[in-house]
Amino acid sequence: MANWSNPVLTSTYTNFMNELKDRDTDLALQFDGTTSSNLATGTIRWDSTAGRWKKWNGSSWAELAATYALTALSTTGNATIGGTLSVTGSTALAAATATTPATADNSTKIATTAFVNAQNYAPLASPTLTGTPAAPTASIGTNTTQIATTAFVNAEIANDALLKTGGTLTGAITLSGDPTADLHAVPRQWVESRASKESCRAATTSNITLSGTQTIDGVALSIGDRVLVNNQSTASQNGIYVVASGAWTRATDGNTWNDLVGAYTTVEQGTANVDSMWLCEIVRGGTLGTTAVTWQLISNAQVAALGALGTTGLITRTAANTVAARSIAVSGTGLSVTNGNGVSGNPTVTSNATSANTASTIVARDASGNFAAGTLTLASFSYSGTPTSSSTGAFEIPSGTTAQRPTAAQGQIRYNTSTSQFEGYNGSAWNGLAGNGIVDSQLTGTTCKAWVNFNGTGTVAIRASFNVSSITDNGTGDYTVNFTSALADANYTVVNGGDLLANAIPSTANQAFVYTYASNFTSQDKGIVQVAIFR
Amino acid sequence: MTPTTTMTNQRIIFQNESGGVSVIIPTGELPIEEVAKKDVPAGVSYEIVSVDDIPSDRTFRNAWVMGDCCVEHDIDKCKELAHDKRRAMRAEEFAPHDEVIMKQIPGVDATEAEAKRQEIRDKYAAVQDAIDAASTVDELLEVLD
Repeated sequence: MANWSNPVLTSTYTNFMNELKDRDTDLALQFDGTTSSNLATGTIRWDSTAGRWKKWNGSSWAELAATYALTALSTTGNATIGGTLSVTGSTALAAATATTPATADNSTKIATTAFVNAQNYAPLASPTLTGTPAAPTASIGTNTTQIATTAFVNAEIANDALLKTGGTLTGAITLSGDPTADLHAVPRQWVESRASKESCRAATTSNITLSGTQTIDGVALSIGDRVLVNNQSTASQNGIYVVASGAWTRATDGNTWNDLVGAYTTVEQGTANVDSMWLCEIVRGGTLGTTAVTWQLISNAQVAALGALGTTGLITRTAANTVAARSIAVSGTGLSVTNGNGVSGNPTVTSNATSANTASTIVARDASGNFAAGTLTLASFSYSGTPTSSSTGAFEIPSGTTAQRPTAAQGQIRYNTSTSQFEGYNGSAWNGLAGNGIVDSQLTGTTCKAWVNFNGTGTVAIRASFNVSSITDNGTGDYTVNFTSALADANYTVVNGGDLLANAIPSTANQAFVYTYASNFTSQDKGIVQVAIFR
Repeated sequence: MTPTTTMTNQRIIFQNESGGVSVIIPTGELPIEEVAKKDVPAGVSYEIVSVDDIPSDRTFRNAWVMGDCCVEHDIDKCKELAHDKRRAMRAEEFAPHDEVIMKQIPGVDATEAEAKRQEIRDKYAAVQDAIDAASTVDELLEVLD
């Protein structure tokens, strides 16, 4: 190798030339980096391995620059970029092309526009998605352009939606209009326009001037009150009005003809019309303000009070819109309706008897509803004449036990099944028909008229008796015997038995006194006291 | 007419003219309301009560008075009746000894009879005190027992 620092010129010329040849050899070899001998500092070579220009700094090869700017690059074959390819400047890869991968390719190959188009992605504008697209579920209450997933919708429904299967609205809803089908929901305005109207404070009883505040049916009206007007001389003016200081106007729920068809309303106050209900009688097809309007009373306090008139009896109309209980009685001239409670205006009852009817014959209705001579069956009846009978039969008079006696009235007669005798009421007591108490055929002047056997000790008790209603325990050994049917007078005889030392004396026709004694004649209760009355 | 044997457990009570209580025992021939109307003196108010509301002990029957709800005893009248009974009982016990003393029967010791009489006096003096001290009918009944 040539020593350029100390060439050997003193040898032969051949050596010098060899030194030059060595130098050329080293220079030639520098390009592949196999030698660095005999190279001058600053020598430049291409490092094909690193792909960089390098410069000999006297001891090693250093890269001239990290990057190299190219004004243009053109290759005729394949080009490989080992690092990052950066494109800067205003001119981009305007017409770069690449091989389009297969549509299903999923590698690091460059996706060309053809590859992208072949993917059939949905467009941003009005895409038509297929399959089952999914999106993030927005939180409840989100109100943006974010896509609402089915999960979001269900959550919103569960949170604050009214299901068609039912639920409770928490706010008001507004309908688009009146219903057009049977099952349509109805708005308030439609309901108000229908039959049931808001109540009126009063109702007229005569023709009125439809303006200003005034008193109607005893009710002093105020501005804004609703009034049922039903007595106008011009019937087309009738209807429901609202009181005003000036001219009255029809109520909003009754200001069209159809509003009043089938309408009904109630009246709150008034002397005659308090608590009444009225039905508008008009039919469709009329014209409000032109066609007559009439209202019919369908209920009022009188009608409501019908139930209080009792379960039986005759109800009659005694005045306009007024009913009252009445009774029908038979008078000397026929049927008459009596005024039971002082209300004037009794109805007239007309008999349908004709001259063709048979005189002095009871006419009864048979089971078929036909009238013919028949038997009269009455709970009670009265007469002023003397009843007679040409029959050979017998009258059957009322009968019953002593306890079943009716409210006594003088002159009543009946058969007493308890005493087995006919009895009559003389105005003060029930007696045998002879009028002196006992008239049974077995009771003669020698027959006992009354008797009683009782225990006067401990709890005083009657063992048995006859014609004795009770005994009165007045004190020790002091009793009164009370007769069921009074004797004719007090001139009867009292006989006592049982324990001796007793004394029984007549008192009145209704009672006798009984006293019992001890041996020293002081009062003493007795276990057996027997008293019999004879007359 | 059929004799009546069906009795009622109801009674009618009213205040009689002497201030005591009269008790009406119906026989059942008439409803009790009708009995009350007929057998209670006119103008006198009355009550219909159960037989259970009437005392079953008649020792002091003449001391019964109308209470607020039923028959009650006038304790002062009861004591008067108790003293009457005490006197009657004492007189009955006195009787054989009184006869000895009054008749001065020969051979019979009058002194002994007088001693017996004193015993009786002492006995019924104690009864008298007990009657005066009694405050209930039951206590009076116990004293007289």
